[in-house]
Amino acid sequence: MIDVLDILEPKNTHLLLWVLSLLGIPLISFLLSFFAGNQAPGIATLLIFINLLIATTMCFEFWSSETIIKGEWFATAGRQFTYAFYIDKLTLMMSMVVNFIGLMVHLFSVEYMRKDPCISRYFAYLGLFLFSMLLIVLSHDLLFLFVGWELVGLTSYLLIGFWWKKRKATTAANKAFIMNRVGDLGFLTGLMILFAQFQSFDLEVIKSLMIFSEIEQGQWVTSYLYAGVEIFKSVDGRWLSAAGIALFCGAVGKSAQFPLQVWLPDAMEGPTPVSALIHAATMVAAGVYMLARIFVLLDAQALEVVAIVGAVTAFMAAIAALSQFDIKKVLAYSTISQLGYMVMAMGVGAYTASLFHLFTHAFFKAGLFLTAGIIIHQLHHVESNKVSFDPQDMRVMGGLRKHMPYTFAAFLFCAMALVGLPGFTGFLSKDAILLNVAVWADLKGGGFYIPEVLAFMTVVFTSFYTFRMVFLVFFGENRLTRILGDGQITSQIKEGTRMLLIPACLLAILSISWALGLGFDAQDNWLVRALPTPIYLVPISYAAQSLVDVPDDVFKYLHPLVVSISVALALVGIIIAYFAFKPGAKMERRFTERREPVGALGQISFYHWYQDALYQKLFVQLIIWKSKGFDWIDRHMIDAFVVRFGQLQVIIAHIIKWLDRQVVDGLVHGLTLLVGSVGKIGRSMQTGNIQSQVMLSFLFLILLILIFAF
Amino acid sequence: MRLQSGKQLMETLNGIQENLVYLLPEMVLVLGIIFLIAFDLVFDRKKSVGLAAIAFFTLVFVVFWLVFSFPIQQQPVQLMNGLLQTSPQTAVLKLIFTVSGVVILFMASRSEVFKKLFFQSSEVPIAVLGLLLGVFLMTMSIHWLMVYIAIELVSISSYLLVGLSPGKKNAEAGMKYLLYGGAASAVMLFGMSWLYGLTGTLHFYSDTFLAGIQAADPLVMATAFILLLFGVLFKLGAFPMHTWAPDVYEVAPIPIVALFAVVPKVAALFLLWQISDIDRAITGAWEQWVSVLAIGGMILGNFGAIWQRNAKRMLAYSSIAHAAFLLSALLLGELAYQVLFFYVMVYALMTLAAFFLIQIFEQRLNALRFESFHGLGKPFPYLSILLLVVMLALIGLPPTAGFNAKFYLFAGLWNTYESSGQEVVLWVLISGVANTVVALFYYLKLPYLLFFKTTSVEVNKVMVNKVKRDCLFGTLIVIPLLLIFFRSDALVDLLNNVNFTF
Repeated sequence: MIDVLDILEPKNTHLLLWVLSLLGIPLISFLLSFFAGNQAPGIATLLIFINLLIATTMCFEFWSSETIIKGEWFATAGRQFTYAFYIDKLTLMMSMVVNFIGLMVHLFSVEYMRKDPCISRYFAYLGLFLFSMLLIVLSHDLLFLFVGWELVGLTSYLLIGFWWKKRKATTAANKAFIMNRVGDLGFLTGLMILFAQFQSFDLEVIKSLMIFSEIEQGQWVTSYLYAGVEIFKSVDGRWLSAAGIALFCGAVGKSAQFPLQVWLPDAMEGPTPVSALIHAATMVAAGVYMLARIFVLLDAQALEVVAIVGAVTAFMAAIAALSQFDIKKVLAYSTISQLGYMVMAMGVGAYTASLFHLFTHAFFKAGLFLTAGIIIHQLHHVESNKVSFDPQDMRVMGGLRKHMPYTFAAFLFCAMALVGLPGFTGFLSKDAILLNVAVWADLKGGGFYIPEVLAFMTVVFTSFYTFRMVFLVFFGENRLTRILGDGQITSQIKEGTRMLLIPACLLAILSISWALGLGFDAQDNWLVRALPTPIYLVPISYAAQSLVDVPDDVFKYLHPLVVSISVALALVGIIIAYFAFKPGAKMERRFTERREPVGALGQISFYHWYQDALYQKLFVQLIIWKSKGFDWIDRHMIDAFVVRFGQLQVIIAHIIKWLDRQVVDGLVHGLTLLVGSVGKIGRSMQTGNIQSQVMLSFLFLILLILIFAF
Repeated sequence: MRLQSGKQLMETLNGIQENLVYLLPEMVLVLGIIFLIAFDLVFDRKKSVGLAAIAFFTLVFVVFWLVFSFPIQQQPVQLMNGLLQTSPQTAVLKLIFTVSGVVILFMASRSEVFKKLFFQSSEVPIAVLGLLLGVFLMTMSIHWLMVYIAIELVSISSYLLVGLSPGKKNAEAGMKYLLYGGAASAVMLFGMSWLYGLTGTLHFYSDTFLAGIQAADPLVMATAFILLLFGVLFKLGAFPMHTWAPDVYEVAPIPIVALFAVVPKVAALFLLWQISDIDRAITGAWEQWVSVLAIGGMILGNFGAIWQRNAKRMLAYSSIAHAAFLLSALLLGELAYQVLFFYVMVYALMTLAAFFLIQIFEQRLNALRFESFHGLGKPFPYLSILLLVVMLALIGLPPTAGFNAKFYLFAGLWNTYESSGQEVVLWVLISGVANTVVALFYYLKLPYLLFFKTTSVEVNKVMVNKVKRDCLFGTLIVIPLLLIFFRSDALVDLLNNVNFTF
């Protein structure tokens, strides 16, 4: 039998310095930036650059090994708590991506935030975010992961509300925070279930013990040694599924999945580079990363829930992105939709495809956000005392291709990756996901075809909204002229500076599949081979059927079909978008007058399935009613009781007053005399009369001897 | 015969010579005192820097020696023909004393007024070093006469320290302290003479002594011990020998008060712990005595503190209450040393921190009476938060080390009650918990005044800048309090590594 403490033995502590430097540098950046004032951008960027170098060195050092670093943290109530870090290909790649995109966003922000008076606070928060994100990535202990998890939540809150003078920003920050807490409640529950069963948060322990746990007559049975003492745990088997689903709830909050996804569109109130880093590339992907870490602990039921939630989210968000006016809102819904893809892939057991999409999405979505940031930044410059408009609204854009050619190119590359056109990274990863979903649906049959259908429909919508955005923003004539009736204003729109363009273009280049060394073929590349799908460790009767066991022939047979359908669907979406929004088309011409869509379908899309309104009615109203109820109870019951009680006391007081007059007064005179004399003794103590002090002490001394004597 | 006695003398002298290496800290202190006197006599003016340097250097040397000589102190060794005994505990205690001494001298140097008082002439540093020498000997002595001499050395230094600062009130307080202390030590000496008369020996670890007190009449024995106890309680500042504390604390300069609140108290407590071993074996009423003293001290200290309007007087009563808590740790028997040393370390830390912060308020901001604290939290938020943390530690609330100390103490008391079934211990526990609640009222009063009242005092920029550097040093003292809360097991491990067996 396994002894848990044997697994918790410290190991590889000599390698801790690597991890500490990777985590420590962003933390230093956080602390330094706060006090650096105007020097903050330079210092922070330099530190993150160093961190990227360290991450790269670690890639070369540890690529072919899987290393666990572990040591004692503290022990309490007979339980040993450890810190544990895990270095494998996945963590190395993740830390590379986080640091690289972090660096790009730092560079971009130097220019983007240059005029902000609180720039040092901004860079400090970015440092704190990178620290917490890397903590999530590196830790191999669910408790540490949870700490990082909460910290990224905090930084996200701080950065969404960075411009706290805007009321909308603070509301959005609160919303993001509260929605995430709802998800974290589930995460905590999952942690508690696992701790109750395995007595440790260490993932190595949990995994090793999970292999040996069994399902016997519906009971989830685990037995192991803890410090030599045999421990036998047996609970209802449904707790195993519950643990998986509860942990998934955390991912639902963080990765903006249905039904908690409403916070992410609002989070766009934060600075745009932050949206690129946190709300597109890294933090929101943390949920998917966490699912990957606990992938082997999920049973069939939990995985089904994951897959269905992912598919529903992908579809709903894609619909919502169709009719938005705000360019960042479109990107936000698109992010939710793509995260839905990743989660769905995890759910069907396509571990590799999901992570593959995570990496490719990180690059092209960050690229899209940064290019959108350039557009917003440049349009903002056109604004003046006389002219004021919302620079994020696509109704004031159009024809920007001529004014900003480089931005257009970068945006187009990233957009093609998002749509999934061959030759771009998004094509490879999305194709892998769709293929796996198709195989999974064939395996399961019945109602499980619905996720597949939703996934393929999402492809059409994705390409439609993406190219709607491309046509509306870059083609035709600038609509500002039409709105303001000022022909000169377009000449003021200029291309972004080099500091803005370089990060965006780098990310755009990395969206081409050859740039990452991935080639044209979707199935066999180094990234896929680096991240093989692990086998499930849950008891066999609860485990899902692994896609690893499906013969290769099935994949080979379905592959051409899936590729051709998905590319065809993407092209269909682009063509529809072209005819609807090409320059001079009817919808394009009327676009500036559009307010909100008419018709039920359009409204559902624009208001994102009325989910916000529903929550407002259901929960917010409920809480207000509850508060009103308590208020009523407070006023009418507790206060009334207090008043009655007070009246009673007055009555009693009157009785006592009578008694006092008649009976007690006689005694009082005697008492006054007594108290007076006691007071005198007390005062003599207070005034420091030395003789009486000594005397009192000695009196007590004699008393103490008397205690002994009797 | 002559030859033999000569040989014996040589052996004794050789023994003493071998022992000298263990007494190096004491000798360094004496040397430091001599240097201070010489320096004071030789130089005429501008000698404060030199005096401060000598005092600091002496203490820092002692700290280093104690740290690096720890391996040779792992085994208990009897010195000077059985007058003294070094052990790991004494080494740890000496370290606490010396570090406190350094902190206190540093504290003094942070204020113009006290800097002048401390380093203008050699008197105050000499008294401080003398006091440290006294407590060193006090912790090491295993001979009643040595105990008496050590306590007197501490007392005389203390009287001087109170009396040396100028002012009528100081002279008065010093005089009262002297008279009270004189009475206490007379009683103690009386007790010692009884013990000598009953046993015929002054070595309190020798078999003769144990046999002697076992043979004596219990009531007589108890009387002798109680007489003795009172001298030690005086140094501990514990009930019922506490009455000098508020008066002295109120008038004495803050660094000196901090010194009194930490160093002699801890030494007296250690002495009591040593005596308690013997006492428990003989009289059997030991638990009852300690319980009565502890409960009395807690109630008197806490309720006394509630009515104070002066920060220093309040801390005086608080230290009486803490002395009672420390006393109750003696009830724990086997467990005592761990809890005791943990509590002592945390107590020393938080007391020094509290007095340091109060000194900043008194010297920089002229605040000592409670009214003058009003609203200072707004211009000095960081300083006020530090004070809040220290006050939380003194109450015993998380996230500070004060919580761990109280928690270990209460847990220990409960275990003792469960294993021994003595009801007195339960009463001490109940009184301790109840008094912790009472402590909330007065400790939190200062932060309350700082943050929730408004001030009419104008704060200028110079003041804010001066306080900034003080805040830095304040943080250095406060951070350990927080660290120990999170890693209390580290300190416990450290204490466990010290070989605590005689």
